[in-house]
Amino acid sequence: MIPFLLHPSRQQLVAFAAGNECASRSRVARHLERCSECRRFVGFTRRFAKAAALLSAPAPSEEVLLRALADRAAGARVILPTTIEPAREPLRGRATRAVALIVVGAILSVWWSGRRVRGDFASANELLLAGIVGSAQAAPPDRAGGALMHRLRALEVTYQRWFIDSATGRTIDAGKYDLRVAPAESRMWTLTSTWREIEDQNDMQGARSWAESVTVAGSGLAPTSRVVHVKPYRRWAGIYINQRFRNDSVVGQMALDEDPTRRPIARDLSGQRERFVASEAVAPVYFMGVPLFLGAEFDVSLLGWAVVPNDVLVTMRMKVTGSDRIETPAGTFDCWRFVIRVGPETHYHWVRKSDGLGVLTRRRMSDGRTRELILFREESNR
Amino acid sequence: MRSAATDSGPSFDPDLVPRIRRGDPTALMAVYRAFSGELLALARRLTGSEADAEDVLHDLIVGLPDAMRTYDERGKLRAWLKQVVVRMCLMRLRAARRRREIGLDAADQLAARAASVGDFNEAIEIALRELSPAIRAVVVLRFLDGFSHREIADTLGISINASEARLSRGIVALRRRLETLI
Repeated sequence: MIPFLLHPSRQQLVAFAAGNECASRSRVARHLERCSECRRFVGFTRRFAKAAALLSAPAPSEEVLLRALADRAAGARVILPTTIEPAREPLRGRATRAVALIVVGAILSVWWSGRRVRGDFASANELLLAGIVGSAQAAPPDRAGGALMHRLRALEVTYQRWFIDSATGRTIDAGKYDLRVAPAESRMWTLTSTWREIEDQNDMQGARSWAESVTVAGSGLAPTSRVVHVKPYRRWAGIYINQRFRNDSVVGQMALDEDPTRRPIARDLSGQRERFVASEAVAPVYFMGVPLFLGAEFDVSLLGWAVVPNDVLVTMRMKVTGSDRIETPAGTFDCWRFVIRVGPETHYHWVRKSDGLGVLTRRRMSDGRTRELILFREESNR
Repeated sequence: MRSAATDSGPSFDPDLVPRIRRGDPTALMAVYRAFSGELLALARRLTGSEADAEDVLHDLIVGLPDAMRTYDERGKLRAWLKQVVVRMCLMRLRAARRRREIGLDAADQLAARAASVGDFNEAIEIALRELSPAIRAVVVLRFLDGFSHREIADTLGISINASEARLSRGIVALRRRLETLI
């Protein structure tokens, strides 16, 4: 008989090492008497279990607790996964998430620096909470769906992307984002956005340039067409997304630069009760002309590239939780503060009270840095 | 090996549960002070990041009052909290567009340095971070947090067999990295 055929499985050896009673235990024990390799495996398993049990636990920081309580008092909410969510294929949602990160600017963390924001956020949370409750009673939050009435105007704005090191406070410029809103024929608007001077591609799929153009119609900002060109895109020279909107559907094509690969886009958007943001370019102006008030809530979905089934819409829950005065390179503005939930994450976004233009988004990155997209320059006839 | 479900863990007054559901800050503080140490350690090992772990802990406190409405008071709060934290960490890892991994060369250097100063704990932490998230979750829950395979299966939404298989694969990988140190 060939000896290695008698080796117990690794699972049986691990169970043996843990002392689990099972039918094969005596057979494993007999095997171990004559197999040094399996003895070493069991010995390592036991030593590791013992060493792992002695690993020290980090001391929790009171700052985390205080920040969480302050955020709760400010109206922040997180839906915890108390039930098991089926695992998703990891690659497919990347495009939507990447856009989500850049876009709506919904990508902000609960971490609070107070560096550019002045207001009642950090200092008067209890009053703020009372204010939200009172406002909600006076004017029920908008959670019922239905069309929002947007009011665009011609403008050209530039946002600065930068990273802030939370330990040193050092700010590193990481790119600029230009957005142009121009009237088109038949009461339509063309929104064109371009990223330039990108210095850190880690959160942008490796892109050096990212351009997007979308045409929307009427006060509902109903999209009619959208084009995205990202270059490079991950391991490809570039990717080109062409979407057209017909009735309740989006159709089009994905193409790769310098590669013959093509994939069709055809998704049914009917039955999607949520409002949706059709493009990264729409995000900064999405609330222009929309009446906002403390406690107002919106369910908004961000349209992905729609090439694969789970990259169609990502839902965000947005709530106005307060007002702050925001200092930006383009000026100082009174703003509404949104708390935005995207999955388990909570972010912050500020829009200007006077016209609803996005002014600042903030997100804490997993590496400890904070990323901001802040209004840098504005040219328009306000 | 102890069980996460039966191990009572730190003392916590069960009468606080209704107050947590109401969002009482004092009750949330009590939860935090009773469980945050081991929950932070669990989250840190699952995510491989101190910052992510703190974010998970933060979100847990923010969302706890609403989530507690589904909590069965007959169960063990500590085990329930751990399950929630594990799922939060896995969701966070799934959402990450790229995994933060230490390069093999860097890991070799760190492991060697850890060994040279006799800090085996550091070497273990590094080796754990090198595992894939799916395998790391099982290894951490089993060896560091004392979950049974049934509890791991329930928490991760996998079968008991899958839990056992992942654990053995994890041990094989860890042995390659750590046998000379442990």
